[in-house]
Amino acid sequence: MRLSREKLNKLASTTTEMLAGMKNVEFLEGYDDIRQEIRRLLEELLAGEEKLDKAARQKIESQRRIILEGTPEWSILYHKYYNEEVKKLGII
Amino acid sequence: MEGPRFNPRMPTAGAGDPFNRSSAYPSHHTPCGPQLSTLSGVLGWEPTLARRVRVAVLKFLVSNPQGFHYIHMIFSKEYVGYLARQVVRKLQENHFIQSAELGKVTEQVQNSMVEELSLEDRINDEVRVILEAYSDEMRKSAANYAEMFKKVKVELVKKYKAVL
Repeated sequence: MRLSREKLNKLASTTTEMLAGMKNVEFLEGYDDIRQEIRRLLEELLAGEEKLDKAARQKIESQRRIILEGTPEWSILYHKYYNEEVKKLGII
Repeated sequence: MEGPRFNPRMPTAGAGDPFNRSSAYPSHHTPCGPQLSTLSGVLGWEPTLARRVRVAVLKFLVSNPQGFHYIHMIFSKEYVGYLARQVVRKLQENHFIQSAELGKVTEQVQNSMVEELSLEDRINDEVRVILEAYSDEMRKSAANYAEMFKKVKVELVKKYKAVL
């Protein structure tokens, strides 16, 4: 996974906090249970995201010339190929 | 909301000014190390210099009104939208939350996620703007850009209590 455990926890916490602050959301379980569930869901979903990243990187590597990571060209291609993978999954 | 958000109403210098880091750097401490001692004034955030940085940040934000948050984020905005939709939908399906306005909830969750996931990019952008404002001084003192980038970033991460 491309996110650290700490970042994932932080993401789950901020999401739970945000939901708790919304008037149109009712919590049916405890705050901590919801936070843990969000963390679990994110972990599950992001495990799938890794495939998109790998596929995009592979496409760049398969180019005839070597494109160095970190260059603007690499970045543009990465986003192009990544979004193609996202579309394949029907996410967009 | 946590994060290095630019606040145009913030004072020029003082305790509430996120660009005045005099409290983060005690006068006896030069965070750049001895080889960069000429930049101690820069990193001590004197009021005049803090003003210059504010101007540079403002110019940068004005020239990048849309792309500032999303250009380099680890996941695309579309993917984060997907994450938000899935999380909200499954929370409701599994009876963790109840809401009659799932669309609005999803939108807010997406915004919150984008905010959190783009935090590092915003910090990186802020570091670049800060270093850009002092590029002349850095050139004169032959400062190492990468090293300076790292040090300023570490300080901003501490300042914003960010989790990267």
